Amino acid sequence: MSVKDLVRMANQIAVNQAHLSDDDAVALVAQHLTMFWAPALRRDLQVAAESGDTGLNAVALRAVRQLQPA
Amino acid sequence: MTLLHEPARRVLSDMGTPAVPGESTVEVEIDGLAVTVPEGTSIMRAAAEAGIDVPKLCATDTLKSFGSCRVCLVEIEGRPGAPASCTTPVAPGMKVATSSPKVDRLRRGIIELYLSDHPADSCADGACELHAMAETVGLTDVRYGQQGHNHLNIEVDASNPYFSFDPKACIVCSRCVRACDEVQGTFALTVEGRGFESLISASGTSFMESECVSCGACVQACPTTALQEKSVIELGMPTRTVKTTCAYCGVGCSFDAEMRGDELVRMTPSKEGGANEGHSCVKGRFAWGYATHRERITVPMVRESITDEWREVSWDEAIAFTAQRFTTLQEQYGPDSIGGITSSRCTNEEVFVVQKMVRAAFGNNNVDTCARVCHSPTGYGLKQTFGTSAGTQDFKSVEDADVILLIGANPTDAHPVFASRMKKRLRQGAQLVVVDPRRIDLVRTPHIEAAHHLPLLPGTNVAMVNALAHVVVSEGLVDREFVASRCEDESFAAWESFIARPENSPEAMESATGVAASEIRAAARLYATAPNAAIYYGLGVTEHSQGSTMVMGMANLAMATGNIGRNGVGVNPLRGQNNVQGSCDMGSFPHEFSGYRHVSDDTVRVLFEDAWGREMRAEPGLRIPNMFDAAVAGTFRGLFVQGEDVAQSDPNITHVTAALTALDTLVVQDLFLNETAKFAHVFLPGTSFLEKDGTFTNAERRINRVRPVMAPKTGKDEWQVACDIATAMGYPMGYDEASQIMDEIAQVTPTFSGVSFAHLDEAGSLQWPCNDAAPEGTPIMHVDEFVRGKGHFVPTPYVPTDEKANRKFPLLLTTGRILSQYNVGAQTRRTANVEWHSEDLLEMHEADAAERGISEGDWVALNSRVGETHMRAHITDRVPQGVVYTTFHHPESGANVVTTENSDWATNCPEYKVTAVQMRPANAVDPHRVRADA
Ligand code: SF4
Ligand code: SF4
Ligand code: FES
Repeated sequence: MSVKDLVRMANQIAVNQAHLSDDDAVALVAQHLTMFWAPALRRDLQVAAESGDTGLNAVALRAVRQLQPA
Repeated sequence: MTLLHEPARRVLSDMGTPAVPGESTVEVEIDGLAVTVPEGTSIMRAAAEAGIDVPKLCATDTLKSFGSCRVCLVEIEGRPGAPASCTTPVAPGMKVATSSPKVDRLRRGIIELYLSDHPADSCADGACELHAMAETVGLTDVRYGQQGHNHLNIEVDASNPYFSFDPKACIVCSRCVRACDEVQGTFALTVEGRGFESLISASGTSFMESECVSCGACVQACPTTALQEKSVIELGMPTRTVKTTCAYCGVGCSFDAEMRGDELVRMTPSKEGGANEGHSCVKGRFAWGYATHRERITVPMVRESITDEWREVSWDEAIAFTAQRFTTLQEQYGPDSIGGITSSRCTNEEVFVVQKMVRAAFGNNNVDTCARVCHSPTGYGLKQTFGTSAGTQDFKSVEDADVILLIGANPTDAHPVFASRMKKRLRQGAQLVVVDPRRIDLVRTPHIEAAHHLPLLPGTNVAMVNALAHVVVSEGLVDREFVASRCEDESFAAWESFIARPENSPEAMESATGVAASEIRAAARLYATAPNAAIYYGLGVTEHSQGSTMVMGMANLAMATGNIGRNGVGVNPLRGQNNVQGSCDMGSFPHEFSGYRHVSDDTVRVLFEDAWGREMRAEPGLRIPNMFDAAVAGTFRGLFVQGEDVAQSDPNITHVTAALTALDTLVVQDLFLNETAKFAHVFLPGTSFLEKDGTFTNAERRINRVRPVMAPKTGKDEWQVACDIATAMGYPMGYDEASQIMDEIAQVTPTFSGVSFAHLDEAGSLQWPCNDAAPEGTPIMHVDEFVRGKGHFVPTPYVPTDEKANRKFPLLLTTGRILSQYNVGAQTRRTANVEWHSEDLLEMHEADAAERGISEGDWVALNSRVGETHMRAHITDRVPQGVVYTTFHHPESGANVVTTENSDWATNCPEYKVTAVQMRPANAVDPHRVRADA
């Protein structure tokens, strides 16, 4: 899966939590990624998040950083 | 002329007039027998209840009584004359004689007159009730010859591919006209002329050219052979029947497969069918010929590479080949390098076995289902709000709805038998609100007019539902009592303050939706103030980037107005394929076991580990789009596809075919060499529904039996194939018969614990949950409390899709289905249904056409940012300016060449319903699509 697509999808999840406070949105995105994404996808996103500017929005980036190592 | 006939089969179970609902009863005496029936019941029905069949012709229990033939005369003590028993209601203490010298004589006289103008040869094998009645009343000779003024020279109308109308055999009882009006709601037939001249007419033209939608209701209702299936004329009357279930849409109609020897003669809708109660549509009733189509493949085939020719092999070889290739891939690329896709067209048992093969034999959770691309947002949204992924009502519930809010669904085309029920309710006065960019038929159809049509721009559903809910909250229309007692205080309060924000008002949303705020306000008031208001929705809700949000938005709206938990209300997904509900229930999603239990739940995992003897993964597997992406990336190498044509049905076909081409091993199990099979290394022939033994679960959670009417043409049941592959891969899996699979499903799935083939055979059908708490199933859900306890409100901010019209792609394409065809058309294109729809057309507004110099019927090149395809133009005012629409039933039109990878944020359900496109006249007729650079 291309990182570009993973970033697009993670950002989309985050954007859809606009009604929540940032902290709650981060928690929800992290939970969503854990519940519904295969570990391989999370891993790719985590690697990308650590490697510099991926295009993740602020909420998604924080959520990815919170994920358990997949 | 001498008459000697078997009684017609159809007469026997016919009570003559419909049941009358109601508590208060009346006691009467019929032929000396005391009978108690509900007040208002006809004498005819009361007699039938007592086991007495009063002779009849124009009456049948699916239609209101009409009283035209006078065959059903009876004598009532103390009353003069001989009234018709079908139109005369019972009265307390009434004493009725259904037979007496006087009425017997009158009856014989009437039937004799009918027969004098009726072809003697029309009664083969008891197909004609008139001849049967003649026998019943003891009429053996007709005194009048057929030389008099008669109808015996009128031409047969054979224009419909499936049935013909022979006016010579018609007795003008109007059963067909009434069936078309009352049951189907199409009003295609009339009686033309008066007295002796009266004739049934398809409104002055042939059936094929009329408004007729070929549902077969008139054929079913006709007591003679005037309206008859061509297959019966060709093959003769059937001699035995097998009860089974239609394999087309999510309505799940019950049918009698009527056989003559081993040959299927016709499919007739079953009156006992809970979903359809005796009605059908053109697909289930007539379009079953694909099952024995010459293009069906019945022998397994393999090939080393997709450029090789197919090689026919034995089952043993095909299974060994598959297992060996899958095992090698896992050894080489790891256990996660393979997976499977289950089909919503297969039985619960077949689906369950495939997902078990993936989880236990493949040892991963890489299983997904084609429901990913249709109703996965329903699963997510309803689980969040109500606690489970299922429609809340049975179909019958619509009979109690006062307001119907229909969103992104086109039931008269896609769920026709349910549409007929809905139309019946609308004709009785229920109000309709249609939310759809396109003017679907229900907006205005005979005797029905929607109170509001809200033609929103594609992609703005959430803006619309928020605006509707804003009106409910800001105008004091919340059902406070319901919310207080049934829903969470905290989540409601959060939602209420969110939805009350000015940015959610109809006025603020007007620029997004394109719909006048006043219309939205009026529609919201209508919905919120109705005694019973019900939401019905389809893929026009789910197939969006905010599909899941929209499902939650509708659930919020229903809870806020107290429209949950009784008849006439609810949130009801109209499922596309026959077993979408079932395939989801059976654990086809990569994150869930059967019964919607997450793989991370330790207790559930232990249950499966104990039952299956293998360790289960606690992490979700890959979804279909993930599988395709991983295939392109080279990490996913092998795929088993059960009965699904992903190369035609999934979005952005260019990407899908790149993924399929990249696979080392693609195994396709299907009836035909479909588009996906072009990329396959193994083709495992599947069985048609006529060969299957199992169950389908329809949109109302109704588990229906599918019974085989013939042995598998492939020599193997489909579930057996998955078992054999699993076994060959080192995980022994086997059942003696399909019922054992359901027993296992019941054992590991609490909502199915009371289901077994034996129980289904006895009950007819069961709606899950069916367990100790609800031994006979659950027609209406969330009655006293939600499955999750208290109803959960979720704020639903509107996030416009990234797929926006722009200068380069100024139009929005949306897609849908047509009545006569079904999905990618693999089945219906192989039947005479192509006579109604031989190609997909691009519907467009005249202004958009004129601006580009496009005329009706012109070839048009349609392109999006991912691809280009060609189809013919159809100019219509059904679509607003700026929106174009097409169906996707024919591979040549390749609608999915242009759809994009955009998807629902929560479930990755593709955004089929919104694609920014441009179109131009295409000079040459080029049916082959060309791919644009992505
Ligand atoms: S087939 Fe259906 S739609 Fe057509 S005339 Fe008969 S009842 Fe009406
Ligand atoms: S409505 Fe659906 S289930 Fe019923 S006959 Fe038609 S296609 Fe089959
Ligand atoms: S059956 Fe009663 S009048 Fe025809």
